[in-house]
Amino acid sequence: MKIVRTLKRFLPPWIMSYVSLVIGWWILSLFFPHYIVPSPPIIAGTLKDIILYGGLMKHVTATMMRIAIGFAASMTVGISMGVVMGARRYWESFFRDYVTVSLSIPALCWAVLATMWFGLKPASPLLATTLITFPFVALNIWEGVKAVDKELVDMARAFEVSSKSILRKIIFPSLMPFLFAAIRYGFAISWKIVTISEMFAATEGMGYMIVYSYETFSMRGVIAWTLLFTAIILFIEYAVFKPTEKYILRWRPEMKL
Amino acid sequence: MGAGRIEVKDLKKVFSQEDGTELLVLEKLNFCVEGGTFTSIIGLSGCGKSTILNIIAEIEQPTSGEVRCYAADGSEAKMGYVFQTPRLLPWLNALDNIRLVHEDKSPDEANELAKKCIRLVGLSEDTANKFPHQLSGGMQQRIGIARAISIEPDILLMDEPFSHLDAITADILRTELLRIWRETRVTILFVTHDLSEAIFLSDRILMLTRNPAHVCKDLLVEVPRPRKIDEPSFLTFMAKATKEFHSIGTGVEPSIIKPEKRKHLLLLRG
Repeated sequence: MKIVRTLKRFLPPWIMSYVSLVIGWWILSLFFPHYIVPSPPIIAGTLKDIILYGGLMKHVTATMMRIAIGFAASMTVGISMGVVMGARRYWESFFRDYVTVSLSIPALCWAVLATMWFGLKPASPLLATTLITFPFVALNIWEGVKAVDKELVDMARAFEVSSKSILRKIIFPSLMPFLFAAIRYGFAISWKIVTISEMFAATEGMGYMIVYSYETFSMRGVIAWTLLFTAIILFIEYAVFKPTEKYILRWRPEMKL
Repeated sequence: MGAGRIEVKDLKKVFSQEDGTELLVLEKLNFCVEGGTFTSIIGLSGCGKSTILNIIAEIEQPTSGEVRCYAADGSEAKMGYVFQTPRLLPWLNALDNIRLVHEDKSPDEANELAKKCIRLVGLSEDTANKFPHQLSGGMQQRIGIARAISIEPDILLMDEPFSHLDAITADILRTELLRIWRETRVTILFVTHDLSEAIFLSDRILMLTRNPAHVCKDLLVEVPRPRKIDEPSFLTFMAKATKEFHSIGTGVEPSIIKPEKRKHLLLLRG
């Protein structure tokens, strides 16, 4: 117990959390055959193989490209729709049901539909990703535009601040927290959808490799690819999203990052 | 800066409500405010006091009637507005909040002016770099006042600016406001529902009825300055004004008014 206490004092919680995960997994692997729960060293070996000979870059690049395009498309559609819905009552009624319904349509439906329409073409995963992700983005921005403090806008108008400055200095900053929520959501969902639709409609990419591992009954492959996937998401979160958000929302007293 | 004149003629304002009905807030509202004076508008909550200021500040359009505001030289008056809440942008520091209303000036000029105004409202210069959430309510409202003063207004509109503050801070800020008024000689139109505040501050008090609001009493405050709320002349005038205020057909009896007002009444009776 003393060891645990010492470790707790010197290691940050997130390291402890990963260490316990690995230890727990290792113990679990002792009780199951390696094709059900492969032990950490086996996984490490598979990871090494993937990185050295398995075409890691090819698959990661393929997936990342799809995510980047799908994410950009859904942000464009979602933000435009969210802005008009928040700003104009007419368009709010016009689009409301599409957003609400699209939020609850299972991702699988779109993935299947897109594949049936476009077959094994690059367009399939892109279309599926855009269709599934944009309602989440639209919803956040819609809420954001409605939440703009009208009193601040009135204040600016009373002081004859120009419309351009009102947009730049009041509306845009108040949208920022909502925009970040939309980006986070949009990005996380894009990942899921791209990999799911790669399982149906692609011949390369991380989702494709997970299915490939499944079909060759390679448990270690499924887990290794999933781990790689997780590592990339964590990297983007800590290297890109958190620092940007922390900088842009530094005026917020309640932000604890 | 200073000495703008306000003329309000036959002002009418109707709001369309969500359920389709119309709400008549102001009707046949007429008054003038002379240059350099301190005028208060007093009326019950919800009688349309803020709407009057919003129309004067051109945030809202009147249904009919007109408002004219002149500077001392007859040109269009510049207007500063202090709101009930500070209305500072939370993502800008105090200095940038003031600079927001000075787009036309060079950055250096705007900086200097903003700092000058922060000093004028009695804050130290290191307040300039603080974000609103790092400031107390009273300090935020001071920045709100500094912002309004910084445009060198001919007319300063104030909408219950001290009603959200604790009593002591509010008292301090009232005294500070009188100092600023003396130093700048700006015309002030001050909206409040607190009679003693109106008497303490103003030269003249306009009392409003409601549904729809129009001026029903126009009192000159005959209390010599500097005023103190416990002096006989203040208390006598308070008694007179309270009687007028209760006679404007609001149906409010002294027995149900707020405790702090009742204290004044007890003082008067005692």
